[in-house]
Amino acid sequence: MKILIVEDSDSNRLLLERILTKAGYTDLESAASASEAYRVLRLDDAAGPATDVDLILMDILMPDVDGLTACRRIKRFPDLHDVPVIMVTAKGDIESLQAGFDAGAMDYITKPFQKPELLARVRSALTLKKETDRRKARELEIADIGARIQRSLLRAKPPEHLSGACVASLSIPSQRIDGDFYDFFQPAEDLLDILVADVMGKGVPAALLGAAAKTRFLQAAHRLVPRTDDCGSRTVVPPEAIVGIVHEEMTEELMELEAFITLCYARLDFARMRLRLIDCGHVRTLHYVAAEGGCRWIRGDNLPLGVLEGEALQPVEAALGVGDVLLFYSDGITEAQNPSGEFFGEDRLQESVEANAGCEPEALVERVCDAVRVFSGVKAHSDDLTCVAVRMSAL
Amino acid sequence: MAEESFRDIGEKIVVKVDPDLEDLIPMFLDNRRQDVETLTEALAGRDFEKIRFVGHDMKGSGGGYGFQGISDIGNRLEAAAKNSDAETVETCIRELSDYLRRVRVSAT
Repeated sequence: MKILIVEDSDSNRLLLERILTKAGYTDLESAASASEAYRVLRLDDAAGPATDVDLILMDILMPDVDGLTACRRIKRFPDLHDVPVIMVTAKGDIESLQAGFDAGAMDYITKPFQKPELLARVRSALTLKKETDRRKARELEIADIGARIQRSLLRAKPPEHLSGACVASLSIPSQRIDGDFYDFFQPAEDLLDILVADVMGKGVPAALLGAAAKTRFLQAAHRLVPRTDDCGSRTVVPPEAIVGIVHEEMTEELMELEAFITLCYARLDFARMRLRLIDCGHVRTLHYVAAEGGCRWIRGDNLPLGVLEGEALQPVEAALGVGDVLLFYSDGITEAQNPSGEFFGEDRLQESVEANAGCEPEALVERVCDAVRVFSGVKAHSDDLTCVAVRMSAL
Repeated sequence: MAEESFRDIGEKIVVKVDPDLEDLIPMFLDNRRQDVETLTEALAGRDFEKIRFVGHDMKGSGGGYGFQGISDIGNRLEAAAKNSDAETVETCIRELSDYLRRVRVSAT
């Protein structure tokens, strides 16, 4: 592990180098001033600072830039924040000791050095650094697992070549992992089920819960394939029954985990041009009615999954026309904030959809997400942006 | 660090040093002899800031090499310089020079 010695006194720098080398710490770098330390750490490098230093021994009293100022500056770099700094101070200088801890130092040694004390403090600082590095590596690993769950398990490709509608989805992941998911099922040629859901909470637990819920829906949807009786009339299990099965299976588990899932399960019937939708506490669905040239909002009043056991689910229905657009999304869209804390909100979403209702769904979802990004003015969102657009066409 | 023992061999002060540091000692002591000159010049020019700096450095390094006597003199130099106390500074310079003349190193 690499140690950086920042000490203006030649005698002491030499002494530290010697004691540390003899103790087996051979990866040393020395700086005779704070500005030399800045160069070693490449603080002014546009590509970011050097991250190979594991410990800094920093003299407090130095000409020009003192050790406290240097420590504060170094600690401001997120990449260097966890590099332990041991302050080197004259015996009895209690005042600068306090200032050293305030500046972010983790420990101190007094001059003149006592070899066993110096080595003990260096050892414990390096042990801490090793632990921190290990923990950070684990966190990255977990974040990566979460991101992979999200990419592979929670997202789905919309069906292509549908007769009756054109569907597109877009998901812009945030820095944070969450449990948003969506999926598509086709119980029959002329039916399309769209599921958009949002697991309360963030991180890997939410992503796992999302993956579990999605699997339950897939199982329920497959179990409930349409049956055709002897007279040739078809029975298709209604969406409320599919949601009901998952509701029944998961609500108790969710309550135990103190989690809930909001969702919107929509069935599009291309033959009858009807929408049947189960809304469980999800954000309202936007319906652009081509014949009216404007939007309507569709909302149901069921509770999210995980709130109440044995709830009877109520569907809502709407008539669909050729050229109509449905937009399903997660609250990452409407709750995106601009720098002054304002939400993107339903009004802006409606404007964006009305302005782009003539576009193909693929372009529409892009433009909606662009509008959110322009509004919030940031590159990385705190929440995922998920939206699914459907444009009805003639069968 | 190394124990300093003031076993007088006639006029000599014998200091036991850490074998790990042995080869650094001659240079360290040469630099302190240089300090005597620097301090004398600084005192002549009433440059107490310079004296304070040299004293501080001696205080912080002497004991680390095994020469607690040098740290002690450095400590008093630093304090005297803060008070612009030329008389004590002069005494300290004399003591430092005397110490350096008498000191002998023995490796343990």
